[in-house]
Amino acid sequence: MAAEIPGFSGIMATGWSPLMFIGALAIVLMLVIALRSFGKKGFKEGKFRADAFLSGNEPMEKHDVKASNFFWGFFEAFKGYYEKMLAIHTGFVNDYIFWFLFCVSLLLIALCMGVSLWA
Amino acid sequence: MTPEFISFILQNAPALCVAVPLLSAFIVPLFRKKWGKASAAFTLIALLLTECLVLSVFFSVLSGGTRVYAMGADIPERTLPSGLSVPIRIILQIDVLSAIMGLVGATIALISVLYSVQGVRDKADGKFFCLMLLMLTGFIGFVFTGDFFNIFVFFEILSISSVGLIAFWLHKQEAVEAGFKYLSISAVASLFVLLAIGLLYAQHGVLNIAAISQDVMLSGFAIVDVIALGLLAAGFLMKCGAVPMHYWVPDAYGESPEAVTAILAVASQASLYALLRVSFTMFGSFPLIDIIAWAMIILGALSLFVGSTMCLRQRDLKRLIAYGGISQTGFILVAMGAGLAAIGHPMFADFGLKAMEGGIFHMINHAFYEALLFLSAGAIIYATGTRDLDELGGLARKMPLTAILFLVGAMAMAGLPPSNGFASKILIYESVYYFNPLLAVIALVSSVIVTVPLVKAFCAVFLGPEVKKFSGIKETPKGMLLAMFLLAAIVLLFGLFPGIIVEFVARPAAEALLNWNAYWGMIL
Repeated sequence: MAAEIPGFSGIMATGWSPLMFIGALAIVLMLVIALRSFGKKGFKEGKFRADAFLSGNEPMEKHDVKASNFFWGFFEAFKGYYEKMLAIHTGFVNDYIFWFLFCVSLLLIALCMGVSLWA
Repeated sequence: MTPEFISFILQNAPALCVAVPLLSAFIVPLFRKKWGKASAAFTLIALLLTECLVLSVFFSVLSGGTRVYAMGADIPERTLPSGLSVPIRIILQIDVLSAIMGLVGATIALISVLYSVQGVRDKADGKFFCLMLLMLTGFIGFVFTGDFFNIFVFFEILSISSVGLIAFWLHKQEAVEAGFKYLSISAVASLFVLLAIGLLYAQHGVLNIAAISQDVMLSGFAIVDVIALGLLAAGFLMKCGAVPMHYWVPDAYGESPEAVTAILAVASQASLYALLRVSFTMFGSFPLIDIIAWAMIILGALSLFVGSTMCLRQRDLKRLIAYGGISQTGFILVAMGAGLAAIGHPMFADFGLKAMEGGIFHMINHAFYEALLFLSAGAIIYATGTRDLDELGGLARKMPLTAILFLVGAMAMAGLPPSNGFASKILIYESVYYFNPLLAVIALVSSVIVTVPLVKAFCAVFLGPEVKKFSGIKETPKGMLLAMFLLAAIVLLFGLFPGIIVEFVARPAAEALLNWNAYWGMIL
């Protein structure tokens, strides 16, 4: 099967056209504005009107979740991976050079092995 | 200005692109002594002039093909002095890839200096502008030169000026440490590059890239060439921040002034350019080039995954963007590696060329949106004095324009439409899928992962309740906003009209990399 990969001239086979996207976005925006216009005209903020309804419980005191607490579950699930990754990010320049030499060695070994097999 | 003068300037534009920022760099400190703050205006004029010169070179290359310029020759196009069969002069050789790289570098340098006039504090003397101009000199010289020794010379100019700028705030211990780390890794990478150049010179007796390339491809490959290829590839991979040689990136990007970080990110792309020049133009027909291609693909896939997952872990805004940048380098490496591995494959025309187009397009896009993200981060730090995400919050009320500009940059890095990042990433996904579906999956998953920390950064900085200590802050100064607006406009325009960039820039650049006969023919 010839893998025909379309370019960006015209609309791609994937259906992507940036200008059509903008057009669709504009239509969605207009729908949102139209829906909003159905809202109550005399709405006033305050008295818990805009707060989430928490199954009849008293509204909680407002707390700001700090950035380092975001995605806590994700970090817990990947704890092992992150422990290893953080351990190798030592910040020591000696380690930086070590990894460079490691990569140079691997690359040269692969190339020299390739040459000997090819010859 | 007479037509003769304009014609003279246009004919000598390649040399002037290097000479103007170089001479201006040494004039700036003197200018500063005599006229004080006017040195910023002088730097901007010098950069505007350089931009015009690079633009003229870019359009002449687009319309007339690769340009050569022999320094010191009576006719700039005369690369072989009479009686000689090999080029001996310093020769600039500019194809579409070199020209677009030069244009991207000059544009970001101009925008960064425009931003730094208000955005960088403690510019006590002309040192800052001098180093910025030297950095641009190194960058343009590096991508324009056609010989290996000058690649090394400009690589050094670029690295040394970068060190000065990373450690610009000498009162900050972390900045000095980051400067030292960058100096160390640059010195080691340069040493390996110099060793490789020495080996190639010993083997072929010339330093000109076209001459070495022709000799390598026509007379067969010696083991010395193979070792030189390995050393050059490793040196350039380290300087472009590929995992696992990426450790210096968050340190250097995190501690340098923001205007510097934007251009430093472009400087890393110069190493990518050199890697492409060596692997495609010089060793494209080498039977074992697949090893380098797979090294690029493996390191690219690692960069994608490690960059995006480590990005998620950061609470320092600049380090978060730096790790995001590492993952974007992974996209370019995977795409260009797939293109390199596909050379000679019967389906190259179907997916190999498209992967290369996507990789080159992403290189251009990445430079602009990463610069935009760093400049917006700089605006936040300028207003609040902190880059700790835990301390920030609710800034969209005070800095709505900065919030929108940051969002544009974040959307582009995450690859969301209608930004330029989406346009180049979709080209990479589609073409790499035909090469190896697993690579496309890794790229797609990494792009999703990198979206998450950018959402986290946006929420933590701009949304949520107002933080009391930031209640008195104001919107970013106009000069800084203008610089960011220019970058955001480029990001959106490239995303809305990607066909123009792919057709007129990325495809000719990819074809120039593959057409090594034409590259030799200009010189020999």
